[in-house]
Amino acid sequence: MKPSDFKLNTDYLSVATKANTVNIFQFPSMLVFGRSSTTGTIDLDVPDGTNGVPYYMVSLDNSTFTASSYYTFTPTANVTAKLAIYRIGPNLLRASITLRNSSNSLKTISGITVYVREALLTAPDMV
Amino acid sequence: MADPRDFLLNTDYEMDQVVLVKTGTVAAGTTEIAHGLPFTPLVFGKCASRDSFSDSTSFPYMSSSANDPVLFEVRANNAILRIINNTGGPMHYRIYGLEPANCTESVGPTRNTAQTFILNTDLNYRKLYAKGSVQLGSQQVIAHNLGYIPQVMTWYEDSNGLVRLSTTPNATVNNNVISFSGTAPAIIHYRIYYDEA
Repeated sequence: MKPSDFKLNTDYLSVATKANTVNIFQFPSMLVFGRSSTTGTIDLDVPDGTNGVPYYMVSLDNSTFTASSYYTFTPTANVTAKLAIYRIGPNLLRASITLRNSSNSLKTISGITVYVREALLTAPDMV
Repeated sequence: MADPRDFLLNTDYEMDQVVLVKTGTVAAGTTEIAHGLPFTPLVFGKCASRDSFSDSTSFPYMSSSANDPVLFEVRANNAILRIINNTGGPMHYRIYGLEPANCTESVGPTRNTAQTFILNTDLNYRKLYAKGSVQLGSQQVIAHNLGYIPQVMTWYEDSNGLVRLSTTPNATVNNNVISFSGTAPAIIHYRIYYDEA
């Protein structure tokens, strides 16, 4: 018998979720000069504790999400943006956007809003 | 109450069962450890530089810089877990594994004491809606039609092993469908839950 022959099987640790949160990061306008990089970060106070495995989904429009804590997109021609969501402490969630300009001209990136859905996966041994 | 989201625990639906638990510390570089399972597990977990895990983050852990490499990731195949630590220092890890959808083998239990709760209804247990894998090459769309954004976990598998999906290819989710795009012959493994993201 394989474990999933049972819908519930107490021989195995189960994964639960706790503390679902929806977090919004609002970045100001940023400039990125020709063939250079610009990085912006925002930290939010979102309690985590230390006994969960963070799980993220991210979106730029709050309707289509990427099932990942990272997302790469193109806010304007010749500019690549890399978004990363990660924890820097038990109460701090960080969103970081790095813009890379592959052209020789100055680019202005208007304010970017990032929607982050976080859940913490936990099981008895995830302490 | 027909909506699975109204229940913390609902045995009408399959729940995640952890078939692998590995914890420890690795030095900088690449470390391989045997997982002892007769299949490639769907690995997830977290890493941290502090043994309290107060700075923990899920892996793969990627630098925020656009062109920098992955800092910490775990790749699995049917024999080993390959832990790649590019952070430059020791890292603590907690790795968990689930069965892939095509699993047919039995494995030993992961509960290890009578002192811990196997189930705790203070928490929510995710109700599995669908699981499977898709071959990349053309865009793959899976309809869920739940009307909300469900929780989705995805893994990417190629000749280098299986790893939690990070950026490319993307798995995008809206109220009705999940879309995968990427290059053949890679495979995406997915688990979709009734629980809202």
